[in-house]
Amino acid sequence: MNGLYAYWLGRIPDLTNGMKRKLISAFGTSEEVFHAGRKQIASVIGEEKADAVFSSGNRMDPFDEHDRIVSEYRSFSSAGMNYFTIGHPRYPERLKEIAQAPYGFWLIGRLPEEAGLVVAMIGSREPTPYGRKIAEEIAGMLASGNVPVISGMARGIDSISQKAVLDAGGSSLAVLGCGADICYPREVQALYERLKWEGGILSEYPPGTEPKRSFFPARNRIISGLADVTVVIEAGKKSGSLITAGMALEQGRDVYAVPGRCGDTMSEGCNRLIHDGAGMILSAADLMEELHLSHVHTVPLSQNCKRTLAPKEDMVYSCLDLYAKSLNVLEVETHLEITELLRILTILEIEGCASRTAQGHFIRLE
Amino acid sequence: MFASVLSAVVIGFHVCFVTVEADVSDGLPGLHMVGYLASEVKEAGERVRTALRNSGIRLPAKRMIINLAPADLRKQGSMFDLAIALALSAALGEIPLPSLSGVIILGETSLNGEICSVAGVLPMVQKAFAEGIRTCILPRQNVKEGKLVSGMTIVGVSSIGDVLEYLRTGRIPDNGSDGDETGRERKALPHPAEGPDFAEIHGQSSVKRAALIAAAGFHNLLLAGPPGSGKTMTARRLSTIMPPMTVKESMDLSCIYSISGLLRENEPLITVRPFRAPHHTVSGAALIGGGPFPKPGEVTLATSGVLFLDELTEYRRSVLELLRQPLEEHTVCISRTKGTFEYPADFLLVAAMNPCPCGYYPDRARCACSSGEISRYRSKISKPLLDRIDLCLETEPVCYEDMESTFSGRDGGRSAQDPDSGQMRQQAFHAWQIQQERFASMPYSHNGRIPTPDLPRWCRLDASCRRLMASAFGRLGLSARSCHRVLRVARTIADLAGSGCIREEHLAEALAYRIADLWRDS
Repeated sequence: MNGLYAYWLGRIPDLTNGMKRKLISAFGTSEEVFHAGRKQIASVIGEEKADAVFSSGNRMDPFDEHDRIVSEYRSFSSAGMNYFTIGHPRYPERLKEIAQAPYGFWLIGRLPEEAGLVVAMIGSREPTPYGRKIAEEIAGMLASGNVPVISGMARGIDSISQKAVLDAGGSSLAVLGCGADICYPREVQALYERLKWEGGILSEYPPGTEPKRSFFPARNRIISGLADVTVVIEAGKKSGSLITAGMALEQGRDVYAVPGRCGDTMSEGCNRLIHDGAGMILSAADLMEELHLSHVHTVPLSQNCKRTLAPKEDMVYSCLDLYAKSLNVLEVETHLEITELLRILTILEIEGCASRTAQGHFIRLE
Repeated sequence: MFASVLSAVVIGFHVCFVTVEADVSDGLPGLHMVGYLASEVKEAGERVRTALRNSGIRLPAKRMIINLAPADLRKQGSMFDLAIALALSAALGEIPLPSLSGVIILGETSLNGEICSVAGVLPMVQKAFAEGIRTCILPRQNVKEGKLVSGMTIVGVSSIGDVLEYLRTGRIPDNGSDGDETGRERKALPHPAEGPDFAEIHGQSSVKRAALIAAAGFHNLLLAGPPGSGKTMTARRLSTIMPPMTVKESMDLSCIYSISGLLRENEPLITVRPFRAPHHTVSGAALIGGGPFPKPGEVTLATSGVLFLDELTEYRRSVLELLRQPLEEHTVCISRTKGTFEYPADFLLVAAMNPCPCGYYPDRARCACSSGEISRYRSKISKPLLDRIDLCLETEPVCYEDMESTFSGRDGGRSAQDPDSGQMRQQAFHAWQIQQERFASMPYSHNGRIPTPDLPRWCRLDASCRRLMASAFGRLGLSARSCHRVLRVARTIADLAGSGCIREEHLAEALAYRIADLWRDS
C-alpha cells in the first residue's frame, strides 16, 4: 500500500517537485502526508497549495478518488511499469543529489547499477556520418566495459548510441519526455521494444502523456543527473544537448565532447564546450582511458583492411576521411578516371573499408 | 445514282478504312449524313455543299444521302470532307466513276473549295499501301508526309478544282512539290550537328558517365542532387548522344506524331530523337494518353527518345504510378467504354529530383531539413517505380576548378577534358552495334530491355565476378531485383569497353550506380 500513497502524492497536479519533496522531508513518508491535517500541510507548502492537496485528494470525495487512484496504479503496474518516488529504497542516489530531483518516475525495465560508472551519451538529432560513427564506436566500447549508457532515445545520436550499446551486449536506459508507455519518436520503435528487456525506459510523466516541447529540457536534467559522465557528440550552436551538458556541469558531473573542425556548424556547440573546459575526446579508446576503463579490450568496429588492398585502392583509401567526401572532391584528389574511381570505391565498400553516406558521399571505415 | 470512295480514320493507333457512299435520288430535297458520326463529321455536310458550289458544282434539288461505312465505327476527324465531296460529285455524274477505284482520299475542305491539311496521314497511307492501294489524294501540305511511303503515287491537291481536274484528265496537278523523296530508301539517318552539347557541362564526369551508360544501353536514369548540379542540362543532352534512329524507328515515331498532328509540313520524317519534358502539373491522361477518344500521351510521344521528369517528387503520386505499365511493357494500354487502345511507349526515362525539400542536403550549413522531412520527401517516389530505374546517381554542385575555363575563355569556354556529345555518341554507337548483333534474333535490342528470364543467357558472370556479387549482396544490402538491374548495367559497361564478357571492374562500376542508398534511412 505504500506505493499507492506515493502514487497519490505524485499525481497531484499543481504541486511542484520541490513541494512534494518538502512534504516528504517534513512528514517522512507519503502515507504520513496523506493522513496529515490541513494546517500541518499548509505550514510546509503554504495555504494555496494545501488547497490543491485537499481538493484533488481523498477528503472531498474519498471513495471515487480512491478507486480511481487504485485502478490507475494497478493498470500501469500490470503493464510492467513501476512507480518509484524519492523515498523508495531503489530511487537512484545520483538523482537525489540534483536540484529539482523528480519526486517520482515511472520505469519499464531496470535502472543502472548504483555502484558502477554510468555514462550519458547525447548529441545531434541529424548527425553526420562522422558523428554517427564516433557514437557507435564509443557506445560499443562502453558496452564492452559493462558501462550502462543513458540517453533520450531521440532521433540521431541518442538512438544510434543506445542501439549500438544493445548490439554490443550492453545495457541502456532511455529517459523520455512523454509517458514511458509511448514510443517517441515513432521510428525508433524497434529500439524501444528492445530497451524494455535489455535496459530500461524511464519517465517522470504519467503513462499516456503525449510528448510536449517543454518536457524535453526538463527530462534532460534526469539524463545528466543519472550519469556520472556526459558525452556530447555533434551538438550545433543551439542544440538541446548543450542544455543537458550545462545541467551536467551544474550537477557537478563531468562533461566530455567530441571535437569537430573549426567552422563546422554541426560541431560548433561541442567545440564551444571544449573551449569552456569540457574534456576533449580524442578517440573512443582515449575516452576509455580517461574513464579508467583502459582494461577494456577495445575492438574496432571493422577490421583494418589496409594490408590486403591493391596499390590503387590503397591510394583511394588514404584519400578518404572520417568526414564524408564527395565524388567530385575524391576525383580531384586521386586524379583517377571516374569509372576507375567508382569501381575502386565499390570494392572498398564491399571490403568494409569505406561507406557510402547520404547523397553519394564517402567516408572511411577503419 | 450511287458512288463510293475510300477514306480512312485512325482509331487509337490503328487505321480503319472507311467507305464513303453517296446516293442521289428523287425525293424530298436535302443532304443527309449517316454512319455513327461525331459532330465534326456531321458538319462536313454543310462544308462540302458550300465548297462544291464554290467550285462550280451545283447541287440539284434532290435527295442526297451520304453513308460512312462501316456503320458501327465511330467516325471522328475532318479528313472525310474531301472523300464526301468526291463521292457526291461522282454520284452526280460530275466525274467518271472508274477514276475513283483504288484511290484513298484524305483531306478537309474549306468553304471556298480549298483543301486543308489533316492529321494521321502517314499511318493511313502506310496501311493503304500495305492493303494494295497505289494512289492517294492528299492535301498539298501533307504531300511530303505521304511520300515517305515509297511506291505510293501521291496526288497533292490544294483545291477541289485541282481534284476534279485530276480525276477528269488524269494529270497530276503541280503544286511545287519535288519528287525527290519518292521511292528513295534511306539507310541511316543523319544526326543533327546543332543542339545542346555535353561539352557545355563542366566537370561532372560521373554524371556524364552515367548519361553515357544510359544512352548506350537504354537504361532509365535517376539523378538526385542539389539545384545547379547539372541534372536538367544532362537530361536535355542525353538524347543527343543516343545513336541515330533507324529508318523503322523514325517511321514509327513519325506515325505517332502524324496521329497527334504534330508533324511539321517541311520535315515530315522525324530524324531527331524526341525529348519530352512534361511539367510536373501534368495530368494522368496527358502523360500516358487518354481522353474520351484517346490521344497519345507524353510517354508515347517520347518513344525512341527521352522522357524527362524534372522535380520527380513534385508530380502527383497517382500520375507517377501510371508510369509503371509503360516502363515494364513499353506499351500503354488505355481502356475506355469505346474500346481499348494500345500505343507504343518505349522511352528512356530520365528523372531528376532534389535530395530533400530545400535541396541542399547533406550540406548542413544550408539545409535544415529534419530526417523526417527528408524521408517523407523521398517516400513520394514509390518502390515499384524505383524498381524500374536501372541507374541512379547523386549529383553534386559544380566545383570551381571545373568552371575555370568559363571565366578564362579558353577553348571557347569549354574545358579540354570535357568530352563532347560527338565523342560520347561515338562510344554509345559502338555499344549499340554490339547489342544489335547480340540481340539480332530477339524481340528486344538493348541491354536495358533484357527480360529477367534471359539475364543468365546474356549476363554470365565468371567466378571472380560471382564472388564480388556475393559479397556485394550481403555487404551492400542488394535485393534480387537490384541484382538484375546491376547485371544489365554491367553488361552495358562491358559493351562500352568492348568486352565480350562481364569482368570484375565492369560489375564493380555497375554496383556504384545502384539505387539502394538513396532510400536507405540516413
